Amino acid sequence: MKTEYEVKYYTHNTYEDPVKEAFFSFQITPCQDDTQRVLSVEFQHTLPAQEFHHQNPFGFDVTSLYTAQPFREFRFEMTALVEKTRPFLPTGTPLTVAEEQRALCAYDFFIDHHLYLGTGHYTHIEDGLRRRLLFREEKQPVYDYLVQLNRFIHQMLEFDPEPTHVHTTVSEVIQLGRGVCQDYTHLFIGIARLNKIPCRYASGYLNQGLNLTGTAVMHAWAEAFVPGLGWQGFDPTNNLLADLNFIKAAHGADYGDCSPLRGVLKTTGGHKTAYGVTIHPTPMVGAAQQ
Amino acid sequence: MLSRIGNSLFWMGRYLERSEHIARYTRVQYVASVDSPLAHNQENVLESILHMTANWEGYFQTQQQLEANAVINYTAISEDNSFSILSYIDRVRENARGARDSISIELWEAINSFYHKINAYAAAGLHAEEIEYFARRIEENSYVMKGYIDNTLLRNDVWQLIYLGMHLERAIQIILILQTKFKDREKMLSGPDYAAYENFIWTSTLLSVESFDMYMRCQKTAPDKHHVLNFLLFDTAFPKSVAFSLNTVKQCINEISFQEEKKQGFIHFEAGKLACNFQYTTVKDIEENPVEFLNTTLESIYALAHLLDAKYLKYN
Amino acid sequence: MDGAMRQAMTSGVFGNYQTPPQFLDEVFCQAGKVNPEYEALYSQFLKYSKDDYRQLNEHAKTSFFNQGITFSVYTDKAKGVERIFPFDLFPRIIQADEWAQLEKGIIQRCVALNLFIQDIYTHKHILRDKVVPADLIFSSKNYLKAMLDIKPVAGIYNHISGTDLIKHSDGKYYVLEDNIRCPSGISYVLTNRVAMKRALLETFRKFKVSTVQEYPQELLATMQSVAPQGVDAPNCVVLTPGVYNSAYFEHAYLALTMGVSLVEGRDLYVEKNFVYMKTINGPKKVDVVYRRIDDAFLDPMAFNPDSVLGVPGLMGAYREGNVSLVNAPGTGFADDKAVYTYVPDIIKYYLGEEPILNNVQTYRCEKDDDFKYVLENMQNLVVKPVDESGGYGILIGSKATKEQLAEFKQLITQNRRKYIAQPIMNLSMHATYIEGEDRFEPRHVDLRTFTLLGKDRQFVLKGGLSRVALKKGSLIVNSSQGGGSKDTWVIRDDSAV
Repeated sequence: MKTEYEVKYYTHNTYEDPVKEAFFSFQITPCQDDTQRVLSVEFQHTLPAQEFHHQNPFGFDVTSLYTAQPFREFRFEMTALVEKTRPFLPTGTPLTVAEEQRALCAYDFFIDHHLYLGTGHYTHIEDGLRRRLLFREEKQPVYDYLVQLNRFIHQMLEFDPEPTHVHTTVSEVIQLGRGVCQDYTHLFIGIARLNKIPCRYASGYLNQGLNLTGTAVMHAWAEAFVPGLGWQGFDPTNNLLADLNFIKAAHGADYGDCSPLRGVLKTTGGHKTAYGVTIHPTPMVGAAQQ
Repeated sequence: MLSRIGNSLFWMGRYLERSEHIARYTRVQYVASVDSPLAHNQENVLESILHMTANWEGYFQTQQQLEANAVINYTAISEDNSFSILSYIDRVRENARGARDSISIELWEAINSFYHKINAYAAAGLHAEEIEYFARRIEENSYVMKGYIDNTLLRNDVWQLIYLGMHLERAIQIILILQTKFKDREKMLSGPDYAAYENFIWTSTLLSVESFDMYMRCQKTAPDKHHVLNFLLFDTAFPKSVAFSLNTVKQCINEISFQEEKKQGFIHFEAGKLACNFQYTTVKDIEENPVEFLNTTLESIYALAHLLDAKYLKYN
Repeated sequence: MDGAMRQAMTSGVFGNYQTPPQFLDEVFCQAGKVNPEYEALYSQFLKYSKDDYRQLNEHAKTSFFNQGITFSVYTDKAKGVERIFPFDLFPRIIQADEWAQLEKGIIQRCVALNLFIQDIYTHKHILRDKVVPADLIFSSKNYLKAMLDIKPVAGIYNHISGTDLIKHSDGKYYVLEDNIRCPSGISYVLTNRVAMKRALLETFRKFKVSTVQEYPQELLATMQSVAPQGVDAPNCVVLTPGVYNSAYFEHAYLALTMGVSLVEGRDLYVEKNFVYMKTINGPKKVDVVYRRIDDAFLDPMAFNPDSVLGVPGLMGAYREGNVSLVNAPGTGFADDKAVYTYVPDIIKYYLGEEPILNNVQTYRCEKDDDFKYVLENMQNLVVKPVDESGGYGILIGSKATKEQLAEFKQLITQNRRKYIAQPIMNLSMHATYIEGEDRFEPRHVDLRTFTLLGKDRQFVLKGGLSRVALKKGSLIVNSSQGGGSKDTWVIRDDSAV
């Protein structure tokens, strides 16, 4: 089954004092993989500059803008048409627990997945907090455990944008007991890695369908590697598996690899930022015509 | 050439020129005050120094009254005063250092060794009368550095930019000196000493610009307002006149391979306009209201300097 | 020996010279007799009276100061204190055959390290083959994921290496450190040589000293050789943090002698994945950047977002192959002191050769056996943090107090990965003029060498920076910690020509 989406990302920034020089980088374009195809992508913005692209170390598109013409306002909009195929959602695992563990413990496997097994600023969990967490039972299959972990984190935290920010660490989140999708995801990643399961941070767009309330923002979820199944997406914020409604932009070791917007600006005063996304399923015109 | 280097060279020239004029003005005023024909001469002289060097406000932020040692120290060597002569020397060196790979080793060594020497000399503070020695070191070394600029650099953008900065600043400093002298003069427009004071004013003006003898040779008359203005503003043969300086500014700008831009506010156009205005103005045209002429000229020069800074030598 | 000479030996600058009993003195043998290679030099120096020599020394110092060959010392005061890097006019001599062997060993080492870096950022064979433990690399803060799968031109990462050597009491050279981030010191080598010639031209002429002045041209040629594909006349620049950086003189000196622009981050910008510099004539494309800015500050978009020294978007342009960075970012994991112990294995692994240069025996605290040994024998060891440079955070066991030893034991236990220990190496000593004393005394020295790797080119500077620990008895030679330097004379072997 396929669905076509129109995905929009927009941001609008105003500055108290003129910005004399600016460099912006966006990591917001939906990526292409087994379940996603980008049919078209368009950028519109208000700077007297042309956007350009390069790939980041994980192979995802980074869209950048540079200008040395002073400005006080900046609008930017990305519109993409994405064809999404329903991802394979497993019901069980093809390998035995012993086989799974053997695969996870292989040295080459560690080398290939080291970026998603070590922990850093965002994902390191202090020793003292570990007893509050959920670990895999000895006989438990990895996939089964991850599904349980997804639910566990969903119940453990309360959604609350107030107390956390883009630099909040997992240890802080555990103590707060609340946070946003970034915090849920980092917690999932931190715990999965403690269980020696490779796990990465995915950012992108979630189609919330009719539940859409207010302005939506970009979403984050986790992808964990299950031996025999490959990378599987888990959304602990909503206790969902990453299905047809998840449109991925990028993945990395943590938020630091995926932040949607970075900028270096030469200006003196403060600024105001508004940003949001919209995701609309569109009728499959092409399919009807064929 | 990097815009930042261009900026450094331009400002190196400006600060070098500025430190020299301020040093000389301070020295000449202070020394002349010893036999000035005015009763309250010293206070007036100190005020004049503070005005010309743009240190009036700064000085009175920390001091209650005019006092010779305090004024001289504040103007010449104060580290807290970013308009002191020593601060300008610091900036000459900082700019030279920033543009080090563009200038000659000889020029850099001259600037650097002078910077170290003068800082060591100033470390103990100055007595007011030591301004004679201190300022002379600044003036002489300014000429030494200018000698290296003239004799060791290629005649390319590097030299042109330093020269541009020097002459732009020179025009500014001459005007500032004249403005200050008009202000000094207002203090005594009548009275028994008037004639002597008037002569003192214009003589010390010429001395402050190191131009007394050249003036006498050209104008062949005792210094007065008319002739001094004519000489310092309009004599195109005298290298310190405003006309000469602005003409040099124009030539430098024409020589420098600035980024072409055919819009209004084009730097070549603005510099040409300024220099031409001066060529076709005579002292008679401005004698009615010389102060206003000085004010508007200074504004035009500042506008040109701003254009250079903001548009052509901008790097961040 | 005539009477005047005998007189000079006792009252001149070499009067009362005490040959150190437990160390190797490169100038004098144990009995206090001058070694043959130094004889001519020694007799020349004997001719100076104390006053003559003091004047000669002062003259050389003034020349350095006026040239601005200074480094800034970081203080709280607004005006940075500037000091000259103390320079000793009595040079160190290295014979041609000895040098030939060193040169081979240095090249071997730098080439192997380059292959190692390339392997780590691509296939990681050496880890898979368990020659170097993967954890050691992945836990290094200098291992950069931003470098993964980037293909630098000609596969060169460490274009410039500063290999530090010492001569031990056994008379053999040992490698102390591989510096392959932004090794500094070359400007001192070049200016020391100029000062030597100015002060002692006649003496200089009597020796067949290898020249060092070609270094800037070799560096430029190295940079040009790794220009991005399709660029014919590459625009090379030196990127400096600015005038307040302690090594600014060196940055300016190299730019000047190479005839290239010295730029700061604010002079550059990236547009459409190309790097440009802002000039008074408009933008000019930049192809090769010799960057003297640390990795973390190179690009605020990729690394430290607060960096104002770097160039936003630089790593994007680099990844796209539109600019070459010299050295490549992320080389630091390979000159890490913990990786150092594996260098002999690394050489064997990639080159199939035995290492030519010796490594100092090193104990890695993260290994249980080594950790135990270090705790038990700390008083006989030098303990170093693996990721610091400049001689900071070092403990010399034999000179430490009980409290310091206890403190370090605790530090190591808390972070075993961070520390290594080595036997206290007896750095050789060299006759060095001591200003307060007005005479020569033996002081410890090491040797920093400079190696360039480019596309199809290798170059080792015939000479280097002999760094002197000026403090009596000190083993720390870093300029930031009271070190000085000497000119290093590599004698030419004209017979080989």
